[in-house]
Amino acid sequence: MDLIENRYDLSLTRIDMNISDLQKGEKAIITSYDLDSIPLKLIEMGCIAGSVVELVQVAPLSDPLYLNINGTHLAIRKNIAQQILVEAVCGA
Amino acid sequence: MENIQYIAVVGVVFLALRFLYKKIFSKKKSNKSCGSGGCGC
Amino acid sequence: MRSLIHIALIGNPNTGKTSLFNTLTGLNQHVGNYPGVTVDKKIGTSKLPNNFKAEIIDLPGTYSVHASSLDENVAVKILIDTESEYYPEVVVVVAEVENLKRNLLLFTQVQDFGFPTILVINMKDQMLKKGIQIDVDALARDLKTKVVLISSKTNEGISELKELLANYKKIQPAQSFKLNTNSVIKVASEKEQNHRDTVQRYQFINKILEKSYRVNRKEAKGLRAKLDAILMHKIWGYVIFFFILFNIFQALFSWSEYPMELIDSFFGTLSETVKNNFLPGVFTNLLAEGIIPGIGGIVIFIPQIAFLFLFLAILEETGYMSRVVFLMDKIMRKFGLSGKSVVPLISGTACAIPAIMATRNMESWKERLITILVTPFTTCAARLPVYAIIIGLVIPNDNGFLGMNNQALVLMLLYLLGFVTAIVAAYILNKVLKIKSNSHFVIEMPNYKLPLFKNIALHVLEKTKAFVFEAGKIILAISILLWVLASYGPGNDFKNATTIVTESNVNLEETTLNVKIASYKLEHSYIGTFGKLIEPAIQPLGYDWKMGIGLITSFAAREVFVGTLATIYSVGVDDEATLMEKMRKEVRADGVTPIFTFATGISLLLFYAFAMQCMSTIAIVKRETNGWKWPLIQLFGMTSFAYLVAFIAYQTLK
Repeated sequence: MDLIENRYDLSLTRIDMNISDLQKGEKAIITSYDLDSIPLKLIEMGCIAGSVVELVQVAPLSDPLYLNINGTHLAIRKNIAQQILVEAVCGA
Repeated sequence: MENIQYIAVVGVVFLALRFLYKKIFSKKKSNKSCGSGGCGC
Repeated sequence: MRSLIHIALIGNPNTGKTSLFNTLTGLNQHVGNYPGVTVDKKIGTSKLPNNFKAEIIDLPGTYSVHASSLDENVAVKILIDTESEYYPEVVVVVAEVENLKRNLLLFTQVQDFGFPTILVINMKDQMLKKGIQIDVDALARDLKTKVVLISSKTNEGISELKELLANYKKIQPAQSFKLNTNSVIKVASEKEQNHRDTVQRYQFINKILEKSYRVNRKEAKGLRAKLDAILMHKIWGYVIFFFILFNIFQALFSWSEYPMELIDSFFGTLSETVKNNFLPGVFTNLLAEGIIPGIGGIVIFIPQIAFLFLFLAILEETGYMSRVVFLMDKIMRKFGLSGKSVVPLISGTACAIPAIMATRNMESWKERLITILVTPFTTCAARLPVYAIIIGLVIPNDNGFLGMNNQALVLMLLYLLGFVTAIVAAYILNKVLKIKSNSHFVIEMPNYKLPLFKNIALHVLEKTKAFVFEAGKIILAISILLWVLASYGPGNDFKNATTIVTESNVNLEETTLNVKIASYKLEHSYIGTFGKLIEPAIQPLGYDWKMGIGLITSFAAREVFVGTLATIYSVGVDDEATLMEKMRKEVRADGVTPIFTFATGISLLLFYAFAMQCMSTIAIVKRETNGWKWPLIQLFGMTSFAYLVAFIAYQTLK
């Protein structure tokens, strides 16, 4: 019983996780995002579903976020990062 | 001699005025597509 | 007979595209203006094999044909407009080895336009170090194009590229990517269409690169990560930044001093020579008193501006500037600005014109507008001569607070005041302006690299030319007009100036007499009359009509104030010490109280700190904001504020 519940909880947090939830150095896979909230430029730079994103560093004051998306190193603001949902990678 | 100088001055002043006039009244076409909230139209 | 081939260079930022452009064109390049758009276009020529000559246009760096800022829009326009003189016969897409996947997005988009397209992959010299292998032939086959591996640093592959370009007619336009419109998902909006398009393109590119691109993941992550850790450290990052900034300003001041003196005496001598050796007449006067000083007034700031842009270019080329933007973004946003506002604000300490032009990479219109509106508050180079003379007059030259020289202290305070006012004004504007602001801030964090001297030099040249021609033309035109208004006057007093002055000053030596005549003429000229007219308005600030004339001439350029005062107070050229003495002795109408008191001095300093007097800046703001609304608001807002502050200062201190 316990095992099943734990697994259920785990998958819940995974669904709600966004880029700003990542820890420094943590990698994840982009699952979804709301097209209207993120700039097209970001998508064109490689932020599409299935791409790997790594949080490289967070600025002092926790904004902006320095990411490595699909090989491209870039920085975006926290409120945009929060719009991009990710799924943790098991065993980076 | 003096007249030529005078004409030269008038010429230069006219050019200066025309230049400034153009700067003031030039209507530059604004970029219509500015992407995400670009131009403040 | 030579044929001219039109080539367009396009590519992501940070691919060394500009480096390639510089390699191909050398010094045979110039910067111009796209009609109706506030972006600079870079054109150059290059010699190709088989006696061909190429005209190359370096399009602004862009990630995609869908523009997210002004710069990027231009690139697409050139590729569409068949009437344009720059419409290319062949397009070169510049990519680089490390980010090839992302670079290819643009490549496939450009291919769709139907041009003969060449893919250039730059930074070949980095491949070994990064463990990257590329199968160029497979790539060329799958992308249906010609691929050249080059290094703009070592010049590898350049001759092969030139060969290809000369034989461009042999290249077939082709579309390697085809959009699949048979998907289940319905796409309605343009954004959704673009999204689907982008996703499919990346799928296509991924498939191709699986075959032809290999990278050994144990890359040189080392250096980049180490540098990032220090330079963006929550304490050291800022300390390092301000340390660098401080040193830049130090160097700026000390390095420009000597060149400025040289330029000053050169133009002074030139003016004298023309006056004495050309045929006497009005044109000679215009030349010696209007045009030459006008040009001199522009040229004298070139050292300061060039040096500042040199430092900024180095910071940019090394990749450090992106880190600064990253560090500063959150703080700046509290004031309605963006991390990207840092460069304009720093540049504004040389001249607001190139500073305002540097706002073009900002995505949010609100942040960009606010940056444009507050940058002129930073202490530009033209204010310095005014500050110098007033401080010299009313601030004692001894040591005060913390053992620092009082005069230097006041100067530093004025600089600080400029920055603080800019920030505060930004804060207020942010609250007041009802414009939609977006957070579509995206900045690439490029690899650190050693700057190439060639690139830096050309970058500095470009920015300095922008200042000289943009600001310069307006300053010169206004100088000419002011000369007319200062050399002619209404009524008989002006006409008979020479007679009047000579009669009341018998036995005066010739040079001194001439200076007195000049002063009298100025007083009774159109400008002088106007100065007297506005005197009641500026008296509450502690000024008299003579200073009023100086304020008017500052419309050409702020530093003209000093030269104007020299003429009014009957001082010869280059005689600053005498000028100060004379000014100290100046008294008011009552014959007793001195004019240049502490109160008046401070009032004047504050007025110059806040007033919008530079017509060239107004012109640029008009251009960058596409209208008169904002520059006029700026003009009236800043000047009224300056008036108010100067008024309060004078009234409380007198």
